[in-house]
This record gives sequence, structure tokens and C-alpha cells, in this order.
Amino acid sequence: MPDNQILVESVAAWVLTANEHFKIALDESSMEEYIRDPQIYSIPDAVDYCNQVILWRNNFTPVIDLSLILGDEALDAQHLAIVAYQEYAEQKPKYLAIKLVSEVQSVTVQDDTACDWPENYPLEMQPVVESLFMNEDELISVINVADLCNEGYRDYLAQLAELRRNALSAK
Amino acid sequence: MNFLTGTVSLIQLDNLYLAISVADTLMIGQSSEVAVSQDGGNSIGSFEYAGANLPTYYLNDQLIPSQDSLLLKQSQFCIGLRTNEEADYFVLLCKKFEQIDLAEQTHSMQELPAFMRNEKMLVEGMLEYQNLVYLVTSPDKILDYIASDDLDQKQEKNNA
Repeated sequence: MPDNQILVESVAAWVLTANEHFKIALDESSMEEYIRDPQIYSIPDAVDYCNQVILWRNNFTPVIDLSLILGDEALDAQHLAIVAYQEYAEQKPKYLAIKLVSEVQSVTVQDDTACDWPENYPLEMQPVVESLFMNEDELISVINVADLCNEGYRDYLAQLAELRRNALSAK
Repeated sequence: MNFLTGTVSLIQLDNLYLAISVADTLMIGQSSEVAVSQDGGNSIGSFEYAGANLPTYYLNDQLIPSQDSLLLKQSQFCIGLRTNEEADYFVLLCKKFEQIDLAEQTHSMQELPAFMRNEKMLVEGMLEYQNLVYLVTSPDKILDYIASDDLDQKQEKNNA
């Protein structure tokens, strides 16, 4: 290989539109299925951003709305991505349904598209994002699904919301 | 998972379904027997059972208690429940009521994942039976929830 040639690694991924302003990426193997208009069941007193489940392959699968986490309008459940995650190696996979604005998109991510955190990156998402890259001039966040389904993250969001309420009331 | 076994009471509120162990179920009555009273709590009235007036609650599909007496007409039955911790008795209005033995019926049951839970959580898990999903709970949880400080916020949110 000539000295001046740079080896760029690439990997296949799925890009999911979680919100009009926010796209996430998952590695190809963690995406199980894309489904449309499933039967949704409400869990009325669960956390606001995850208070619904679907019955998927005979399992109750939590449905998460990242748009609500980002402080925007709730999405309907027209488009859902079922993703698998593990909290530790050897664990039997667990599943999560993520509400989407549109269908999923397959992309190839190259190392040289990685980018730094923008200054205005939402605080709500920072604990669950592993890296960022650009795709067709859009910022895509690579998320860790296990972190998204963690009690610590739920508590972090509650604390963040309280801080924001306090800051508003102090004004 | 063993939070609900044996015979269970399946209770339809409006469009929401609850599953409670039959051991915690006291009796079943008609909603027409409920005496409307505004006692300042969250109850819609009281139901006389064995010489005692049991507080009676109507929970809507967001699990928020309501004291609108017109709601009594929408409910056909009321079910008496007993808490284990304090041996308190109370009554819940419902539209339908059924008892099934889980050992004899095909069903799916799962605990609610920890990250979905709030601090005071009424729902412990989900039960699927004959294409309906029931929220698994207990009288202790229901009474805790009704007495919860968070309830005012939930009622405000619901009214908004």
C-alpha cells in the first residue's frame, strides 16, 4: 500500500429518525425488525417517555419515544424499530421498540465521517450516545440501547427536568 | 416470575384492564348499591358491606380517581378488595369482572422493566389473556397510589 493512502474502515448501520431534528444510528446486528401500526397497550403510570408496550413475538416489549425525551411532541406508533440489547455479555437479548418518524434507512458509516459534539447538543441524549458522525450533511448519533434502558438514565432525565423547572421558576 | 399465580380476578375499568390475585378479592356487588358521598378524599362514595361503609373509588383509564357521581352509571359492578399490609378494605367500580385460574389458561405474563417504573408505581407487570392485556397490580399498590402525593399533579395534568 502506498504511504499516502489512508485506510478508512466502514461498517453497515441503520439510521432511525427519532424526531424531525434528531437521527440515531444502530449497528446492523442490533436491529431486529421494523414494524408499522402495531397494537399498543398503555401503562398509565409508567415514565412519560416509555409508558406503552407492544406484544412482539409473544413478549411484552417497551415502546420508547425519544421525541418526548428531547422535549418535543409525542410521536404516534406508526413506525417502530425493534432493537435488541444486552446489559452484559452472555445475557439473553432484551428488546426495545423505538418510535420513529419514518421508515428505517440503511447506511454505510466510514470512520472519517466521525465528528465532535456540537455545542448545542441536547443534554438529554448525552449519556446514551457513544459517538457522532455526519451522513448527507446530517448529524447522526450512535446510541447505546442498553444505556437507554437503564434506571440511572431514567433518574438522570428526572434530575435534568427538575433542574430545568427550577431554573425556569427562578427567572 | 411469581408475582401473580393461581386464580386471578380480571377487572375491566373503562378501557383499562387490571389483574389482581383472587386472594385479595373480598366480594362483588352492583354499582347501584354505592352511596354517593363527597368525603373530601378521592372516593366517589361508599359501599356497605358486613356493617361497614367501605370507601369506593372510580379510576379512569389513566388510573386517576374521579368523584363525578355520573360515572357510577357507567360502571355496572363494584369489587371489594383487601390490602395485605394494613388489612384495609375498599371498593373499586368496574364494568366487567372475571376470575380465571392461570394454571389452566394459556397466557403470557411479564414484570414491568425497572426503567419504566416511577417511584410510586401501581403496575407491577402485564398479563396477556385472550388477546387482552391486563395490568398486574395489588390492592396495596392501588391504595398507596390513590393516597400518593403525586396524585394531585396527575389530576391537574389529566384535567389539562
